[in-house]
Amino acid sequence: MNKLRIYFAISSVVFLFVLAISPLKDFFSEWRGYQLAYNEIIKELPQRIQPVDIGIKQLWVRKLDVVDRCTTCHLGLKEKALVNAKEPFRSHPHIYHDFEEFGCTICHNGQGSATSYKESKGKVKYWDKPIFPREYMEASCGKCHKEQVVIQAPILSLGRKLINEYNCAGCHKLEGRQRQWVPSLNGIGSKVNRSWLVNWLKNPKAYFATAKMPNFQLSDDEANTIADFLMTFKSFSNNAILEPLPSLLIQSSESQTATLVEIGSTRLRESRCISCHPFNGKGGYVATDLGKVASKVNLRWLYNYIKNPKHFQPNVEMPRYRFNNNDLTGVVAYMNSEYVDFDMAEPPSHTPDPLYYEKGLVLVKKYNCRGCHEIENIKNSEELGPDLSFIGSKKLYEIDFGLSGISQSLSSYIFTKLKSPRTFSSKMKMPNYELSDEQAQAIAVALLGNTSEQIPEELKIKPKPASTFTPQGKFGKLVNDLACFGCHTMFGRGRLVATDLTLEASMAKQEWIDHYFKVPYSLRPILTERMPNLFLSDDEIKTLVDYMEKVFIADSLTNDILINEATVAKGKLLYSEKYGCGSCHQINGKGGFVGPTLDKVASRLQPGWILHWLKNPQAYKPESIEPNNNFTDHEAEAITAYLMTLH
Amino acid sequence: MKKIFDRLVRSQVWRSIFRHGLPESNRTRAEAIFFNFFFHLHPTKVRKRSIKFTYTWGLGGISFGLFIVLVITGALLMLYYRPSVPQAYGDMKDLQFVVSSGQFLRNMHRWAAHAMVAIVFLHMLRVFYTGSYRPPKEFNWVIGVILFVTTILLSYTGYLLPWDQLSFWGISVGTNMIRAMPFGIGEMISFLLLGGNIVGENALVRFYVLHCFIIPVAAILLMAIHFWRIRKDGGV
Amino acid sequence: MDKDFKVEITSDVKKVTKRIAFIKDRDAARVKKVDEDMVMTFPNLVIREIIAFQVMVIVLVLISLFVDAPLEWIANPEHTPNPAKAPWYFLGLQELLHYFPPVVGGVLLPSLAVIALIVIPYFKINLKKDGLWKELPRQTLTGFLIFVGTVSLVLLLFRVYAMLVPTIIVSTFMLIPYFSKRNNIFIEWLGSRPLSWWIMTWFVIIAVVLTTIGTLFRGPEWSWTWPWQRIY
Repeated sequence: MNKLRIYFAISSVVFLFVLAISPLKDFFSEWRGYQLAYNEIIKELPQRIQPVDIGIKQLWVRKLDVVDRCTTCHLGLKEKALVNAKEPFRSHPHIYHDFEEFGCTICHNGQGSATSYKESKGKVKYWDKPIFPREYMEASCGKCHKEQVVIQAPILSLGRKLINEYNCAGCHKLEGRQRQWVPSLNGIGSKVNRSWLVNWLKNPKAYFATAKMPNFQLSDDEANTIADFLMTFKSFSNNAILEPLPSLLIQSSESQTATLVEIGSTRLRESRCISCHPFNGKGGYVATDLGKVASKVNLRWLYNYIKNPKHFQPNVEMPRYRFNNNDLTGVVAYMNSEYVDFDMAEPPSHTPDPLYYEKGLVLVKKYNCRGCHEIENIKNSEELGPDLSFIGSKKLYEIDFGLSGISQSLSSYIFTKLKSPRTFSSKMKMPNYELSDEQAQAIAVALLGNTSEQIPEELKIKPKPASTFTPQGKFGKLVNDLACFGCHTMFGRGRLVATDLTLEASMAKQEWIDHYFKVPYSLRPILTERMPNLFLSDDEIKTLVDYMEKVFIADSLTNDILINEATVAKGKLLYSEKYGCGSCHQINGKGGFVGPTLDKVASRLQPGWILHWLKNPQAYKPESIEPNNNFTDHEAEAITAYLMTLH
Repeated sequence: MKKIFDRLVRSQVWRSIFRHGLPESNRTRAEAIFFNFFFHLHPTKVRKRSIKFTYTWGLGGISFGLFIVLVITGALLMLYYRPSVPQAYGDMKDLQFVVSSGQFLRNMHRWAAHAMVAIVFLHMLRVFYTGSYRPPKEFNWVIGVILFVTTILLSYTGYLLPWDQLSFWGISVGTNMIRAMPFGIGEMISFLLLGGNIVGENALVRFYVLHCFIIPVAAILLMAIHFWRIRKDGGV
Repeated sequence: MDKDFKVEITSDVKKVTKRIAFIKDRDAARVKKVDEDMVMTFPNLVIREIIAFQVMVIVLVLISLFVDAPLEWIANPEHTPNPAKAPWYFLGLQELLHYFPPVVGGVLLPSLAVIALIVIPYFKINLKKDGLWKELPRQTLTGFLIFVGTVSLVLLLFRVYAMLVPTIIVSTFMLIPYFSKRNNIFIEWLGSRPLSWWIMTWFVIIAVVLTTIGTLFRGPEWSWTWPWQRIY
């Protein structure tokens, strides 16, 4: 009995003790230590900072349904005085969003609900969104900002651009990304020479370094089989037929050839091919490198193609130059003599596999060539690669890291996959794009922003819907024939290699436009991309100008300006003294090189345009670097008046 | 000190609560049992043999003790829990990170639940090996087996509530087993249990109600009968 | 007049309440049941109960302070973990499903087990306290061999070694007292076990073995995996 009582006493004491200490574990939490340390640190600062009340702090973001408790320890986020304090008390750098409005984890990831260091960083086993490494932070911008270019997020924008350029949508489903135009392979057998094709298939970058076609890491056998297979595609789409070469090109004396080459050289320069095509790496970026083109394609194809590009590649954005026969022959002769690859390796001789067609077909399907290139009779295998629409929400436990030994995070997985696509398994089919670290990181950033997180629609910034502007009639035909959209934008459609033409007639004077088509010149001589001379006929120019004067115009921009000596003098003063416009613009050979030269600006621009432009340049050209000086109406008018005297 | 205590014991308030004197004589000791709501299921006297620890190992009592712990911790956990998707999981995180001793509560509940399944099973084995199912206690054995099944069901329905991968797939595997029952009965039962064909929000609400109300009430009733019968059949 | 009865008064007041027995001379006084030692419930039983409860809570609190309840990733219906496991007390069942078709492993066998448990007190064999071989040993042996043989054959057919091995071991122990020439305490003890004891023991061993295998030795695709090989 006594023994029982002793047991009872002991167990009661221990019982009470353990019940008493169990809440203590909570008391000795990590965050309490940080808050006490914070209160100590701020005491020593010269500035007065409100000490923190001990307790868990949180940001509740109602619109995102997120509770972030990061501010329990990150106490100095808003205190400018703590800009150099040690973490976790350092103040938050200036960003475009208020963290109190959006919370922390929407951008940083990690585990917002957590209140301990390890758990909040999310680098624990059962949390699949660990905190973003700094270099991938811009991925978070992409969660809401779905437009192509996000000005404040250059890495993200670069990634999105690269995704378009490399045509990732050819094999992967990617929300909001369309497939790019890539040359059709119909008629490739009549276009390229087989040795070039084998080399190209083996390693496109060996032909020119900026080749967009990736390296499929084909074996010699595979490359030869595919080449044999592709060389059987001799006929073009739309039953286009190659005309025979003019006799002058085939059989001409040396002196005749020299004359031809001479003419060709001039015409080639005038046509400004270099605006779009690079030649051995120098020149535009829109089209393919022509530096070694004579070793790639045969002359007959080249001649026919330049004569009428869209006949052989219906959707190509190359203008049909109005060369006369002699000029065209000259251009082809010049290219044939000049743009040859003298170092091209002749691939080892090869006996075609008797089953090359069947095997080639299998390989073409396996590597999904059809994802990018149109090929006759081969159906598109829809999105051979995995769906990347929500790749940013991929869970770590869904990833097979294989034996790669990289750090177990989604960002390093995507980066490694992009850099060397077959690391995780040799059975993978993704080709090697030979991306630089910077490029791979940018693409990874863009992909990581594709998450399945529930973002309220009103917070998303969506890309503008693609413009459907398609001019009709004679003008429409000309625009198509001259591939204007390849460089110019009109009403939201087209590239921005050159100017946006939407308001061209409000901007420029009719006589100037008319003259410009005949003899194009560059307003900014330092640019490579210049308007080519398309050798248009007077009738064609009239069609273009008439249409532009009717359509590319906004009534709100027509203002007449009172030009008298007083305002001109005042404008000149404002131009040269108050606003120092000469630091960027040149007049009479004096001034900077950043903006276009303003000599003869009065012959080129409409006064109404100058006036409106001066008031708010970015309203008409968002990417313009011209500062908005907040001119008063009076000032803007004076400057306009001054500029209108420069004939 | 003793004086104060004596006065307290003799006060009307004390005597209105405890209607017997201090358990100093056999009479008051007996009264302490049968005047007490909590003890009145016990006889006032018990066989010395049956309170020997190594005879019962206290397994039945410990099972009941675990049940009490589970009811208390469970009720507290209910304060912080919403049976909806995905809030349920978030509430687990909140328990872990912000609720005072929340993780401790959840640990207690979890481990007590696992322990209860094991201990009830051991209790059943003990009853079997000591032959305590023999007449007249045969029906109490049946109730005991049903209580064992109830315990497993309690644990199983609670398993889904955290709404993590472990619980989701644990329940999916389990309901797929039920689905194997022939003649469409399995399909029917699993549909009834899940409120649908897959484990989703409906299933979560159903499991919550089963776990927090229906099964516990059933278990308490069965336990009451179980204990009452033990007493009537001459046990403690 | 002579008294034709005796009066006995038990005097151990502390143990038993006072009791007077009248025993007539004509009766042969015979004690049918010995009065067991009784003790007061309060405090003997009550204190024991409280100690047990307190110790249980202490153990539980200590475990809860140092071992956290698991919480994995949020439920994701699109990703099945490999292997997907039920709670531990169902892993024996899941292990059965691995061997038998779902109707047998998932429905028939567990239902049989529960029904068998429920009906235990209503069957005579369960009430017998005699050893297995006490009555009609020869017939019992025949029946025993037929039953064990059939069960083993079925288990062999389905390759359920996890059940076959315990079955054989238990049967061997059952047969020892029948064939053994020597006699010692252990064999005597085995011989005194009734049939119901053997069946229950067999059931418990199989339940424990299956649950252990399911919990600790099963990895991806339910393949055999040692506990230390498991990645997760």
